[in-house]
Amino acid sequence: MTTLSMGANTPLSGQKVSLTIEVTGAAADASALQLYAGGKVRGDGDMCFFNQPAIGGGAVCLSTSGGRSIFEVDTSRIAVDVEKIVFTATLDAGNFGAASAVTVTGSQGHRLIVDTAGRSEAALILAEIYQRNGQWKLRNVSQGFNGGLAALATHFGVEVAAPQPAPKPAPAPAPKPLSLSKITLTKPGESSRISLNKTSGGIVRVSATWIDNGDDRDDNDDLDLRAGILMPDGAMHWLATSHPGSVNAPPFARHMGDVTSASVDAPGTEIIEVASDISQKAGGPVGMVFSVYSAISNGPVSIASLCPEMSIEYQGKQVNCAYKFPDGKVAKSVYTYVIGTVAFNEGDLDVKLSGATSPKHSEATPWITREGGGMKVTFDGAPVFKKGRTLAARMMGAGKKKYANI
Amino acid sequence: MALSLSKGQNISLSKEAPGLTRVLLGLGWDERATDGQDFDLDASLFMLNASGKCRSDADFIFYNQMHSSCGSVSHTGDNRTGAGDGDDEAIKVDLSKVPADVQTLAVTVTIHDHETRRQSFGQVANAFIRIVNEDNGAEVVRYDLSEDYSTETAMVFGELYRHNGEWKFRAVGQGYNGGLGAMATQYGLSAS
Repeated sequence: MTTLSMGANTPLSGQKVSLTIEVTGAAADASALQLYAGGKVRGDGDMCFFNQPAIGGGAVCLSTSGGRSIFEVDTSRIAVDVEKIVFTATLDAGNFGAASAVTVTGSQGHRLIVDTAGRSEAALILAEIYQRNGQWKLRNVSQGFNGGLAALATHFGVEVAAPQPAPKPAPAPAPKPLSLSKITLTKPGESSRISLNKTSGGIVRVSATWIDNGDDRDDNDDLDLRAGILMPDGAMHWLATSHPGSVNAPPFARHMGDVTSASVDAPGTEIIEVASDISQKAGGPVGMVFSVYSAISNGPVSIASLCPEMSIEYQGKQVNCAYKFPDGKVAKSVYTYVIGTVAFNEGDLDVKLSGATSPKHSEATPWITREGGGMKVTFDGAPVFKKGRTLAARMMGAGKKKYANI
Repeated sequence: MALSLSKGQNISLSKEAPGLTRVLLGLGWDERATDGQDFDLDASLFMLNASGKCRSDADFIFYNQMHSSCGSVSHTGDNRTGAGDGDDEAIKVDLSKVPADVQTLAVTVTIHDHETRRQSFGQVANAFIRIVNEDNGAEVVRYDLSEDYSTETAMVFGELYRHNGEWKFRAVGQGYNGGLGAMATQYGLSAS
């Protein structure tokens, strides 16, 4: 075993080498970037991370195993104009001084010493593989950025979304008429049951509505209703305008299309229809999580100011979810609001108000798992975008759990 | 294209650049790109006798003593960040004025305040030394040190030395732990 202290380098032999990175005591993501002249990437395709596990035609491949990230490098496949491959670790929160250990080992018997004591950085360049006089070499870099992923990405020329200006304060939401004929849930955890008619079947209609937030902008009133469907086999399906689904074939639910504007007089509505016998068709209980989402590209907006609500209707029965999401300073940095979950069983469905919101600046999608008799919502689903986004945005607090249909 | 040396190699300056008398020793490194305190690297020159020691304190040319008493060596000034292209620090030598009992001019670079800043050469990118003929601006030889250091805090970049009546240059690339004080002690001075 050869140890490499900070700054030390060593020649590599052969064409294949792998580097294993493990961070303990903190949640970290490991990435590799291939850099061209000037130490910059040329595009999103130059970054190898959990949502893009192979780059450069197989020059760098990532796999994970038990919390370790393993990068396999084939130097014979590295493009001639690539100057070096750098390996980085970034933290979701905090700095490396709080991590108990960062371990980097190479398959050719190398161990890199990374001293985390007193480190203020939230992103580290751990190592680099580069060519010197025709010889491939490995160097322990162990330097980084307090600013974390954003600073690291900027350093390597990865495009980062510009900071958002603060939105104008939203007016108080329009008063909602009191309804006596419907069940309205207003607190997280409240639930209600609707019996399903086993003989006639039919459609369960889930609609999300929102109003214009009155900020005199027309470009930021676009919410998207999205759903995750937990099948009896544990697989999650994604349902959104980009993945509309079908009621006659798996996942037995469909998104009825994108609506991009709203006003106080004419609230925006997006609808998802679900086959009422979805649990029979899927072969067991099915869970669904419904959320509304506003992409950053739609302009700065606090989703809370749009007063999103959801109703579930089935053969004249209706349950509304009308939780008033807290609106505040951080609301504009929160992109996903979970309105509720619906558990479909053979004879009934249970609607439960959630009120969960994604972490600040996170593009992770809500994920559900069965726990006890109910469902638990966590924000670790893979991010899903209608159109391409900067790689840095895709990485920011992104979830890792994959959808079966994406 | 100037000659590029590897660690340990030497060349004859008299042969490489006939008539060379006024030389500029240029030293450079890249500005810090990552977070943390700037790298303040200091170039110094030690005038050594045949035993490899300074004859007196006057033979130690550094940021607080920028000219030798004989007038053959002058330091052009301290750069505290490594910012800018080209040479970050430079020392001018007139070989014709170097006293006869000075056998070697050792050019060193040390990291200022390395202990409190927790810095070593392993963090410094693209360090080099080059020799330029001041009369025509041509680069005679250069030595890139990037591959030859890691945890050292003081480095002998290169030596100009007399050999059989001519001047030669050797790419030394030898690192030490310690700072400028340790370097001065090695060359027979008592520094504080």
